[in-house]
Amino acid sequence: MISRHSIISLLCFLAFDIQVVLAQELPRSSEGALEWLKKMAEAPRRHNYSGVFIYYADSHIEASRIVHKNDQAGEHERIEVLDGPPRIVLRTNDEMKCYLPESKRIYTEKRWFRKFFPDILPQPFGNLDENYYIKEVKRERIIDHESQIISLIPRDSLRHGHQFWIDTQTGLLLKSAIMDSGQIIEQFAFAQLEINGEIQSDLLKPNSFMAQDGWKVTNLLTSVISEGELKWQINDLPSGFRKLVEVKRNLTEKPVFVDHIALSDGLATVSVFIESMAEDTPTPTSGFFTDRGAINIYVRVLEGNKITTIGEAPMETIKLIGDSVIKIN
Amino acid sequence: MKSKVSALMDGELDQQDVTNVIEAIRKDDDLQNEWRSYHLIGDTLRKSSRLSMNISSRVSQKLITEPTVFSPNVTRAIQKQKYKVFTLAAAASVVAMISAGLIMNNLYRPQQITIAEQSNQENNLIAAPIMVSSPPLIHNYSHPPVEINDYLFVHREFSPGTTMRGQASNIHNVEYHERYGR
Repeated sequence: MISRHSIISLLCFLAFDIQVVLAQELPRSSEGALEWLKKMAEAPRRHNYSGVFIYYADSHIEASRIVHKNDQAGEHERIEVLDGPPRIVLRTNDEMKCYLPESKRIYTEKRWFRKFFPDILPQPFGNLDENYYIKEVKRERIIDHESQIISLIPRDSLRHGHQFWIDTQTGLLLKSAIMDSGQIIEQFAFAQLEINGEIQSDLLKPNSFMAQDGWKVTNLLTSVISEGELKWQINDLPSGFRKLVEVKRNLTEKPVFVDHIALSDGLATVSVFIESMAEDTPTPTSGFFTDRGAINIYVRVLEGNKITTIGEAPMETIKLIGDSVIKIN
Repeated sequence: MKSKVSALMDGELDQQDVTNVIEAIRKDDDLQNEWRSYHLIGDTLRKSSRLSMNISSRVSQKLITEPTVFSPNVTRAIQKQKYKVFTLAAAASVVAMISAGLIMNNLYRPQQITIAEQSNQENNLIAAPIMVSSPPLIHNYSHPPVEINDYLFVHREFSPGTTMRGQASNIHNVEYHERYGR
């Protein structure tokens, strides 16, 4: 006969089981947390700032100086990477120029589709709540500013988690981290920051050496094309992901244009590059690759075309997107 | 002799044999037992309300030798225990049904394995469930394709942390199965 103890144990186990099941059902994000994200998304358009921030991933540290200013013409930004080979990026609204002084090259990009620290949220940030459970965690002091920590917990396994440290006064993002299974895999953080201080317009202009002759200019973007013009399509987008843009790219010395489809779930961005291979070229290396931080890469070949999928998302998601690319007849 | 006892009961013996068999039963205890047994069988078959033999003394003897159990209300206690077991088992079944329902509901929620509808529909996505396909067997290569740097360069839009063209590559290849266990 089943003893009373064993039945009680069974009931306890089942009750625990139910709790586990219910725990996986994340509730809707709180209004307070969403308000913090709204404030954070608006901050780069409302405030001028300058300072130095650190990128840290896989034991690699890189410092960059940033100057950001808003005026009647829009946003102006200059980011200079201070460690390793010099790199200076000047941005005016959607147009970017990247200067590489050592190789005297300039790369231009006329469609700024990405969002980067500290301006990482799109406006409006849309349906983040559908993909992440957003909650207020606590207050913490970051570089002498009081910050509100906001945690974004993914609702499925298709994306990484995020944590934001938001300046309580201005809403500017002071620190951000990408999480994978509770571990930080990539983070940005201001090491020095001045908000709403005087910003001389000279700080946003190219240096005199950058204005000299002898620079080779490469325009990475040839044309933005409307949806459906590409002969490629991503058959099934993973839940929460939407198409940002479809463009034809001029990738440096390549003789052919490369089709580029950019996707995003509001935070994570995934790029799909489709390159037609010439008949005499060797078969490209297929497989899975990782880069520093949250980047994962998947390469496959389809009907004489190399499809490379890159993004700050779990490999499962990258593979799912890469495998969904189909050719439209 | 046993067959003659049976024949005697059925009235099939002649007078001489009847006298001999009765004499034998009187002297032989085994035959007496046989005689009693046959009568008991006959009474049972005939569903007779009155037994051909008196068994009251033997029943009384059995009752005397039966051990006395000093456990009052033992029957009620067993019934109560059975009732409790039944109640707990029923409760466990209900909990198990709810739990199984929730687990199944959770397992088959579309968000983990579904693919959303493509394009610009904002709120009314119709998700069709598709299992994440198992990855093809892909060999390990010692060097990643060099073009990846170009793609990263464009994907990251020159942002800090990006490996730039001409710099040492951080890219390394991984086995999907090893890394993700599936």
